[in-house]
Amino acid sequence: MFLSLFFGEKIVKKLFKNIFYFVKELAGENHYQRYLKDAQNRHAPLKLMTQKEFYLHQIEKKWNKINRCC
Amino acid sequence: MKKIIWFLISIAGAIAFSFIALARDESINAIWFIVAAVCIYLIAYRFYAAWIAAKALVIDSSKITPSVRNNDGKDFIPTDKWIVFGHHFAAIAGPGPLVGPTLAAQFGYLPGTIWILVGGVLGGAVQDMSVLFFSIRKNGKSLGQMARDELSKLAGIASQLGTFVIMIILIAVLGLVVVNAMKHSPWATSTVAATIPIAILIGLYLKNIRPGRVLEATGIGIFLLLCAVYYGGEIDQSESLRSLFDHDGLTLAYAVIIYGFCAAVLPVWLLLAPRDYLSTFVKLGTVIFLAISIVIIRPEINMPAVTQFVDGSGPIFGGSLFPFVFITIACGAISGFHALISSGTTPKLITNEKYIPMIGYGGMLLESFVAIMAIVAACVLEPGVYFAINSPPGVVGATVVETIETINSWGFSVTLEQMQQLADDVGESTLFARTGGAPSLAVGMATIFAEAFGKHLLAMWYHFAIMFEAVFILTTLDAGTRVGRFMLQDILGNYYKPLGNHSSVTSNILTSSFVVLCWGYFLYIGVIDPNGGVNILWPLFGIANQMLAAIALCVVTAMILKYRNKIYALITGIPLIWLLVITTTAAFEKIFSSDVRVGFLSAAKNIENQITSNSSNIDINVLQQLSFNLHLNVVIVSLLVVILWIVVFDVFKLIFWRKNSEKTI
Repeated sequence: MFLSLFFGEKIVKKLFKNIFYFVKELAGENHYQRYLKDAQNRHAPLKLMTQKEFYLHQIEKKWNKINRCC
Repeated sequence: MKKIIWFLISIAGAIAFSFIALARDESINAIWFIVAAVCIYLIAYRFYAAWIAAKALVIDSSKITPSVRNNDGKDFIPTDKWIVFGHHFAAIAGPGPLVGPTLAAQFGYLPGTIWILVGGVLGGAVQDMSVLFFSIRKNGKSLGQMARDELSKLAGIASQLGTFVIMIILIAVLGLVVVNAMKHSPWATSTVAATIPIAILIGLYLKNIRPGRVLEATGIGIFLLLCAVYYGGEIDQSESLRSLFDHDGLTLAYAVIIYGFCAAVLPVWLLLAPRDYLSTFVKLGTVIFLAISIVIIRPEINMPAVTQFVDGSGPIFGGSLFPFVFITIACGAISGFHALISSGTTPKLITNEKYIPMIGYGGMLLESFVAIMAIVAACVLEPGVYFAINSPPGVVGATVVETIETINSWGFSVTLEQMQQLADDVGESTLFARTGGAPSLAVGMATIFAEAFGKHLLAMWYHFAIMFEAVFILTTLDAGTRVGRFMLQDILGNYYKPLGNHSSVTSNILTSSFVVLCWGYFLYIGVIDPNGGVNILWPLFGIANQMLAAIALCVVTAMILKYRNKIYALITGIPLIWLLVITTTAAFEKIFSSDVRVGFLSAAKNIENQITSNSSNIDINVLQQLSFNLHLNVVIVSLLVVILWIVVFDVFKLIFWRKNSEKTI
């Protein structure tokens, strides 16, 4: 509201949409949908991971290497 | 028009920096730090980073990156540049840039600020960007692999060994910071303890109730964390409950050691991953919040530009300005650990080489900015208060009266009433000798937050800041122990295969126990040390981290020498020479200095004299353990220096004995 006075409603809406997209991507929330889409495009094997399997697979992979620093 | 804007930015930066550098015996506003830093970062990014990218590295936006070439949806995933930036920054920004500048403020605000700005733009950011570039050109290879391929097998082993040593010391020193923040503070201890069941709850929610719904789970988690901060105050008021959380350093150290072991062997979904989600978002939110608060209230800096402790007599850690300010502030200026991230996940996500400066160089600038905010938060405190919080009893005196007298004799005014009032305001029984950096940073942050958003909430802000620091320190501790376990399993697997199996329960328990014992030992020694373990552990960590940075710079300098115009090797070669000078000097001083607060050998001799003359009131067993530890530290520092110079020798060989190569990448 306050920002839209200076920059216009359209720009502020777009900014918040981008921030939300950024946060969602950082949290990895879109990754499963992307995996399904990707598997479809690749004509991958029929046995696809469920969302739970995919989530567990992703975090296992993420934390088997140096991923956080000092 | 563009030229005029850049000219104005340069002028603004120069004016702000002059205010910081030339102010003497007068208070200076924190806004100048922000203006100077932002202007310097903008100019460095626009001109220096762009020049290095174009001329030295020769970035080519038409080249296919590993994420596109090897896109497998698993390790190599083409990812939007801003998302890669977010992941990269979340990975590199740990507690280091907050704790290091807070400790280095004992020299005054100026030395630390100059090192953060200059070291950041000419050293750290250059290292991160060039390692990222060469890792991309080498198909996402790690620093260890590049060291082995481009220098020698020995250099590869040296960088792996160096990484393992840093990991152990890093976890120990961070554990010590958390222990010191919780010592005899039921409010802080209960809040930090509450983060464990909250993380487990979020882990169960994400696995069993709403798999993968990270944002809503994190939202619930953050709400619960805030409740934990609030109800920690209630626990502190309750006579029966507060005794459950009121513990001395040693008990808390054992608790942290047991916790570290559990976190390393438990499945990642249960504790580590949910804690990281909480820590990442709390960290990003708090850093943005702190920046906004500083801009809103524009606090005055109370610390002098330079204190008398530049001579090496500082109470927080012994050692003169040169080389110890450069060792103490590692992560905010240059950090070898970043090279592991820049040659780890990040090069496997970037879709185009043109994003390398933004992610590699820009990410480090943002981390450097976090360090600037930390130094501001430490320096807004009255110097007397800052030293009363951070000085260990072994240096300033065992009683509070002695402490006050000692600090006043240095020319910094502080009174018993002032300290008691501050302790009451933040909801603590005392703030004397709360070493480690976290409590004084929390007081500084709480003062800024309270000034901006409500003075009556000082106690809440203080414990929020403690929770904020603890939550991501414990994430680093969990993740570090786990990675240390994998590294050890990989090494041992070469000799006995079953030990290399990551899925084997026996191997997991054995290797995790070994890693936890290693850092647990240093944590234990840090807690029993009457001079405050920070005096020994933080410089040890700084030397190890800067040594890894020097190895990373050796690798990229060698690669520039091999594949690019040799003159450009100066870009990484000059920071490399500087790191060689400071790490070797610091190591030499830490081993051989005759000052017992600096030199390990003289400190050990002093302890042995106390044992033989029976002149100390400290238990003889503790003295013997301290003496053994000092000798062990001599071995570790010597090993680090030998490792470093082995790698440097490989670079010399390239400079003097290598014929011009036609090879290019």
